[in-house]
Amino acid sequence: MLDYLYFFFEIIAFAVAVFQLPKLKHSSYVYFIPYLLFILIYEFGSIYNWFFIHKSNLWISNLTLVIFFLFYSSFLCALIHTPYFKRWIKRIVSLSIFLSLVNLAFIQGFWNLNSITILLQFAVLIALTCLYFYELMNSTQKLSISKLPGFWVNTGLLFFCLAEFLFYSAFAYMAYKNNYNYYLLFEVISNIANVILYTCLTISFLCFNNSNYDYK
Amino acid sequence: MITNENIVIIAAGTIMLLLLGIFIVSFLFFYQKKHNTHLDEQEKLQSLFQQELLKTRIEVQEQTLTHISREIHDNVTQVLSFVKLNLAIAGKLTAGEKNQKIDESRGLIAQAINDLRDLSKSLSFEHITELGLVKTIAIEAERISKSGIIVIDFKVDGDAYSLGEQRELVLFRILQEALNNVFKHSAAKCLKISLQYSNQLFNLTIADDGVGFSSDASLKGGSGLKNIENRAALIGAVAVIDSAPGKGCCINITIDPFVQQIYADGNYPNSTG
Repeated sequence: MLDYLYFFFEIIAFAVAVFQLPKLKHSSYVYFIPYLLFILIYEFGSIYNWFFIHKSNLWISNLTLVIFFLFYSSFLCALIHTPYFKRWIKRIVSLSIFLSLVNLAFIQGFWNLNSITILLQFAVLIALTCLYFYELMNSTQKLSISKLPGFWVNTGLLFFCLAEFLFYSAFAYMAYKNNYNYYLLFEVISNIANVILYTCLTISFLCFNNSNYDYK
Repeated sequence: MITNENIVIIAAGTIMLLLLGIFIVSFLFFYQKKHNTHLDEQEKLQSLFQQELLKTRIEVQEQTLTHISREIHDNVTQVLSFVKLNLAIAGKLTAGEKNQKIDESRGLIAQAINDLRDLSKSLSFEHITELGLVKTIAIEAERISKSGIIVIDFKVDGDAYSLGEQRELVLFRILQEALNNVFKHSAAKCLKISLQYSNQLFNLTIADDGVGFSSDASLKGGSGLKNIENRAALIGAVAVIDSAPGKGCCINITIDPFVQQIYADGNYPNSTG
């Protein structure tokens, strides 16, 4: 049961997002609803081996991670205000997507987990969250950051990427050794990272306020 | 064996990275908390500044109204009473005497008109934005000189520029405060007011040849002098008060015209005017 703890938190995050829909609908947070629905279907399908083709479901993970990256990078780009940063984010995200496709097509392939792509995307996402925090620090407004939905999304994402970064950096080397401890480690890290991410998302939806959800 | 070691390294590394995340978020929290405190303090200072400015404005108005009231009582009313008296006794006079009284009354009315004109100028003291600091001080100096209480030497060096309404209002109030001190305590015969405008510096000097005071006396009493220093600090100026017994007093206010920041040293005693 604990193996699927993260799934429970994903359901909660989705349910809260749906519940908060009237408040979210005039902001970019509304896109979390279709995205979380997609994630739920993916996770549910993974648990019941819907995507098991060629003795592996890693291909769907590759696609999901690209969608994950595209969604969060676009979302963070919308949260960040400085035009100069926005320009650079768009360039870097485009380059990352291009490199991911190259990796998918020519290097690690479609049927293996694209760990290099994941590392690249996580590094970019970590940088984007730090950029958001930097903007928060330079805000001239008096902010209560614990009430900012953007802060919680970024915090969740930062911890998610940091938690899974080292695991994926060793993936290419470790995964094919069929070491039980490595799979155990994966279960633990993945659960913790997902629990943090989706708890933070839930908080961000809960603290959402129509009049004051952004900073200047 | 090596694989298990790697797993430990990955687990330890992941914990370190999570700790890094905790550090980043905690740092942001503490930074934001400090930033908010700083903003609160700034708001407080801004509000104090506005209060002090309002007080200054009211004091300038009070001073102006006191002056007007005194002028009306001492000059205009006296002159007009005299005219009334002339007109009352005119019926009992001969034609020649009547003409003389009429001429005399005409002269007195002209004097009353002049006095009222001067008073209407006084009413404009608060409109420093319209007149500018130099003109406002010049009118004040002329008014005092006319009264014959003291001889005022007013001098302007350099090309005058605006220091901003708030600063000029405070500077004018400092001048009024200094003049009050001179009249009340100094027994001075001569007062020098000089304004120096240069590119980097503005300087207002008020020097009298009165009895002066020791530095101890200035520390003990004189909330007026403290007010001058505090008000100067409020607009980012530095006030230097130099005096010794028998050597008069010199107040020097220096300000950097390009610094627009509101300075306040947090010391705002109740002004006594």
